[in-house]
Amino acid sequence: MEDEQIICLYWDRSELAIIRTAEKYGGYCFSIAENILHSREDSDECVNDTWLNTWNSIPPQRPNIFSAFLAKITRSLALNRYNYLRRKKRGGGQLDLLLSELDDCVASAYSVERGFDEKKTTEIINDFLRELPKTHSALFVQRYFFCRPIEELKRMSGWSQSKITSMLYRMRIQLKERLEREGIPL
Amino acid sequence: MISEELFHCIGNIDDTLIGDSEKALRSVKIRRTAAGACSCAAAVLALFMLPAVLINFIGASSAAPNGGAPLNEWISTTAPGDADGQNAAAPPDDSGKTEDPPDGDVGVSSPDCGIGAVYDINGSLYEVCTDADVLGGYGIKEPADISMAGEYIGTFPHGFYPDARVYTLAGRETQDILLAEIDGRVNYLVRILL
Repeated sequence: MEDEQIICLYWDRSELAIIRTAEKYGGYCFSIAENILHSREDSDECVNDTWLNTWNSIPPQRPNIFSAFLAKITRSLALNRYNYLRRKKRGGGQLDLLLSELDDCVASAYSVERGFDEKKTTEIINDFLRELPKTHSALFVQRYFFCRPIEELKRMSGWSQSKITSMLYRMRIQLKERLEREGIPL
Repeated sequence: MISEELFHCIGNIDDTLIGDSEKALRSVKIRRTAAGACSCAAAVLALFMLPAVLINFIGASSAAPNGGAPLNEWISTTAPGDADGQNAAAPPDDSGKTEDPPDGDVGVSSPDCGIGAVYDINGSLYEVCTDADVLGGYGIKEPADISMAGEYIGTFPHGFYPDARVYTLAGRETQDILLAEIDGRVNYLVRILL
């Protein structure tokens, strides 16, 4: 079923909308949650929460790219759950590695009082990614939005591990320079 | 800003960047596979055409007014070396580069020694690299050659070859990129930056 038809089902408040979404995007959303949580049980719960959130969001929203809309909800829910589990000393590992990689983009000595402009930072990241070659920005998004492990990125792209890590490293450094240039306090 | 906040901002990026990313990344592999298939097809085609080319060449040589170039001369002049083929394919002079005796193992290889295998050399992870983009990042534009070897570091086991030899690159301080001689073949080893 086409995404537009599924969205119409949500607008009609038909419960078939959730069934069709789960059929088409169940695996996709599960893999996003699994990349962050590394737990089948927690990922399943996260995906179920995604359907509920989607049901509550459409209407009034009418997403242009349904898969990205679902991905954002799943990622956000998985991240909340990850933080909850980390507080309870469960889970962790892969995401900590990802966050330590992103330390390349921020300064080590950061003052919380300086704060940061979330909207402006997101816009800068959007511009930065749009200016990169398409395959480079795709790699960045697959790593830091979808949280895919390097091994999976190797399988997807056919690139070697050293090429992937080297590309990601260079993009992190470029992003840091860009954020500094745009006046984002690091 | 801290990395968690940056990670959160990445979660809000434009939908169009998210939607196309998987397809764009998978297209890299498809293009590479297609290019590989074309190369294979060209190689197979060349192999099939070789007898026809040789027969054609011999026929043309004997039919030419001056008798044409003999086949053995034609082959020898196409080999690397002097233009007349007299000193073709001389072995590279690697004297002075491999005279030091091995100091023992400096590393270990992952169980899979094929493409993508990872080597632990003196505590850092390395991978054989032939990718021009990566090598270009280190200012390298030419294929690996034993004449580029600098300081001899030692050996590490590589599959059936227990004494693959590893060197620094001559004139470079960094050990982010090394040279490895494995069964007579020379490759770049690039440190994995994670």
